[in-house]
Amino acid sequence: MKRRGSSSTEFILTMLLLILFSLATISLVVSASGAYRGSEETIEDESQIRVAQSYLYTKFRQNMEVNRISVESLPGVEEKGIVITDTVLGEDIKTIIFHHEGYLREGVFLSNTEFNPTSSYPIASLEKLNINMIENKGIDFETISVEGKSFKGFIAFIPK
Amino acid sequence: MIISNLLRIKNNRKKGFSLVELIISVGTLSVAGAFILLFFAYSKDINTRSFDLDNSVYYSNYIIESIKAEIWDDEPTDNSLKIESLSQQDGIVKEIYFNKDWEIIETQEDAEYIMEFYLDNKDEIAMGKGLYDLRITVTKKNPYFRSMTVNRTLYTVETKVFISTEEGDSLD
Repeated sequence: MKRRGSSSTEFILTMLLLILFSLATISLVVSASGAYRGSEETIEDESQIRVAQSYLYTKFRQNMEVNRISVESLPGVEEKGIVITDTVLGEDIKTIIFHHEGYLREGVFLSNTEFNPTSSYPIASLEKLNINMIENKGIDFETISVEGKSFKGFIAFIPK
Repeated sequence: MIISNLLRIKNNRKKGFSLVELIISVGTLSVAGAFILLFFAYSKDINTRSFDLDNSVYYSNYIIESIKAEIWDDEPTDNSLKIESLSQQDGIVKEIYFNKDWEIIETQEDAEYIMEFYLDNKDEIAMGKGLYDLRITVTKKNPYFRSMTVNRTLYTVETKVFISTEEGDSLD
């Protein structure tokens, strides 16, 4: 007489297949979520560096005259910043673009007020900003993202 | 009678998954998984393409602006765009090679991206400067993911630049 029900071998085989199925599902979910996270971080990182580069190009193009723009050391900030002087409604103002605490920042100050890095707002998350002014020629700059990607830029002064 | 027969048939069915059902499930999951991973691969590829385009644009801008400012000794031109006799040049004036990470390298063999400059003298002189047509083309040597196109043109820009032709400058 044939035994009814599953044998222990069938049971073990089924369980093994179930375990295999579960492991495959888990590994798929883990790798997919890891890939998504990595991809999302890279996109965000590149987006930040694009914003920074685009912002700097726009600011420089608007103000690229020898007498209006300078690269200076700023109190309380490690790296040099860009100082753009302008007159708005008869007031002399300074727009200062600098890198501080992981962000490219912009602050607008009256020319007779003291620079304070906290009185500024963040533009984009950046690891580093290298700026080098070439006398009467232009500004050479490099933006480095948190993930270490970098974009180089150069803007020539508008000839008088 | 019919109902009791149906109930008996239902009760006789084996509970749980059969092997065939399990194999079909694993197969379906594998196909779905492959599509999901392919989706991420495509996403990464699109990201790479946009990053390449960004770099092509920024480096081309860099060149054009440094020509305007007559800065010949800065990266990426690094003094090598200081052409001895532009008027005698035809076709490609210069090539700059970049590796996969967009770092400038010396040799073409290891290059992933090639930036080519074409300069054409328009012979118009104003204020000691000659007017030139400048064309910059950036190509990628190897194909992108699931693409067969080698030496794909990523970016082309054409502009006019004034370059100093006075003695002692970058030109003869």
